Amino acid sequence: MLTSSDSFSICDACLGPDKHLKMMKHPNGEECKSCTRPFMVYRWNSSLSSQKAKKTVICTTCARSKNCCQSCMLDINFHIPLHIRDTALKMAGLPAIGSGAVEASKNRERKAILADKQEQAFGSKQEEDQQELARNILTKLAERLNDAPSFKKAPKSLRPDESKLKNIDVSKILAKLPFGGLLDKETSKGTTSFFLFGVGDDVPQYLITDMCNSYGKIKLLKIIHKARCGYVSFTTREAAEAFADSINANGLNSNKSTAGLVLLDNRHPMRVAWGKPRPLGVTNDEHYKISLVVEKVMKQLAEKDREANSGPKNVAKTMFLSY
Amino acid sequence: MKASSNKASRHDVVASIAVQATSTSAPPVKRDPMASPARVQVDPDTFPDDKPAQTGTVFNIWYLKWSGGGESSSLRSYTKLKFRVSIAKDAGYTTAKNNLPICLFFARGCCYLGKKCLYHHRLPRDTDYIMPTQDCFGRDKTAEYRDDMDGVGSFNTTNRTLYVGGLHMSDSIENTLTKHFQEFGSIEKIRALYGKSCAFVTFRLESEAQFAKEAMQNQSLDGKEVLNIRWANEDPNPVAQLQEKARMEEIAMSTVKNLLAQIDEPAPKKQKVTVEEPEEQVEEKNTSETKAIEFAPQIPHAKGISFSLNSLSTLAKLKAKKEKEKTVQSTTLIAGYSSDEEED
Repeated sequence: MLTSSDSFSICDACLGPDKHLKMMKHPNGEECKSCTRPFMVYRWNSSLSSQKAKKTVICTTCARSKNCCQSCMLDINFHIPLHIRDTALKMAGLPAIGSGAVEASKNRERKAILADKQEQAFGSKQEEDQQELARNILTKLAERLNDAPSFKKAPKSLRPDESKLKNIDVSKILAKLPFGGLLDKETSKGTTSFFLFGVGDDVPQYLITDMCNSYGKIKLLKIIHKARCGYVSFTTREAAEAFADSINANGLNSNKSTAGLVLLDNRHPMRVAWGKPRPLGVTNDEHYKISLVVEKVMKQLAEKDREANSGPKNVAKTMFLSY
Repeated sequence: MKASSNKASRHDVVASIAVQATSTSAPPVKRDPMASPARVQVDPDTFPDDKPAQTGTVFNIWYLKWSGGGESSSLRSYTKLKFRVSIAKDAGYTTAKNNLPICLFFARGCCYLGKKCLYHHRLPRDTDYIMPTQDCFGRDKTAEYRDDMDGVGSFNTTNRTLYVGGLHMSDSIENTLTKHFQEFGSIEKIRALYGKSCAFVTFRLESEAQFAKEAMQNQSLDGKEVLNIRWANEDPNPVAQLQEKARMEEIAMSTVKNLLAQIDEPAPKKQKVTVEEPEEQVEEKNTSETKAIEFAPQIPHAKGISFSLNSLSTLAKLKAKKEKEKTVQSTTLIAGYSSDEEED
């Protein structure tokens, strides 16, 4: 029979699909990566996995307190990373699993002591019928799923100290930025670059890269999320024109007297106009001041678009939703 | 005079041919690098075996580094690496099986095995299964970061952001960084701190950041600088933290959705685990006894451990219920295991 020290918690995925599995056992073979105490290390090879043997990396006590697999440290029931599980539990308003005290401590001795205490607590605790609790988790999570659209969006920006901002002059930078720029071929003879503005703080750069790459090779790409604007420039005029044409034809830009509007990933609005790369400021405060102007211009342009044509009402709506 | 003009005209011809070649070639067809064998990145015969420039008093032959000798040795040696990976040229198939990690030497640009390598010569993909306790090169992570934030990283956090130090700042530094780093993955954000000559590069995936960290460590961008790449600390900006939180919640939601969908498809496994106990002495290897542990309802971790949150046993019970509904065949199911043989 196995003694309690022989026990381990390893998930099915790590054990592999083999019907018979041979494991090597090393008493006090290594130190637990979480609590630094020595523990019983198990090593095994499963036919599905790599040639590299698998082994347990944390002790049973730590695994038990986190309810995870000793080898892959995924949740032993749901096979999901612990931080995702904990986020989900928090969202559903359920208590977190494990105190996290061992992780929070930086001191090795303290970690070991905390883990010892944890182990004692487990020893005295009776196995309760936690079926109700667990069912609660699933139902609450399911309920929460239905409320999914009510996600609150992350705030757009944080206001730095206003008094500091007064001394910062960005008018020189702003004067050279083509906020009133257009997207027609005539006014832009010879240029291959675009000024992008209204780029949200949470818009990944690769969305813009992917969009531009389909029209030609990018020579230069500079997105400053803090200032909410940036540049893209193509190697050839043809690519740039193709890019401009595609934006003009995307159905959001019937009003040609404003910069072209793009919806990245169908939710992130961004304006595009012809314009040569110009400096966009270097400090945080400069970027923030520029971002304020960008925000204002975005609103004005949305207003203009709405006045100019009653057609794309939905565009203006999206713009206002996000600003 | 004549000769030179001849030369010039020949140049012109060559140039025009080149222009034609580029202009007539159809939009570049993306070659699948994985269709060809991986290239040998360095020739082991011509591999330089020289000592680095003396920066200390003692040369450690195991680490190939100088040590001792006061101040100079404590400073990091700012020498550029001799090799650098070029994904377009170097990536290709190797003898690696599917779930093996990526070759670390490939990432550093110096794998001499080429297609014979046992590990993958390619970029990490989002479909790769990487254990949270390891990085994409199969190296074990630790609980804490190293004090200098270098190394493999921590398994307690998911870090997609790299600190890039040692930059020579210019107005187009974001562009330069994009150009060099996007070879290794999708860049989500680049934030350059002009006052501090450093930048933070955020990737879409953690594994891409891991790869980029190894590939660009001690390399140069367009100039002569030598990059110093570390893991980034958590962004102190509260807005960024809230954004990260929102992102995590989104991921958690989709994960839970998948989880709830999966409950409908139970797949009970039958397994038998043998624990081999080797004797201390190697001589007695043959006599090492072999125990067979049968995974019965009283499986070790169910017996010894009561999970603080017994959520799986619920999941398992849910599964079991469904099973019962479907089949009369009774299978004892706890934690997804059932024994090979019939047990009470």
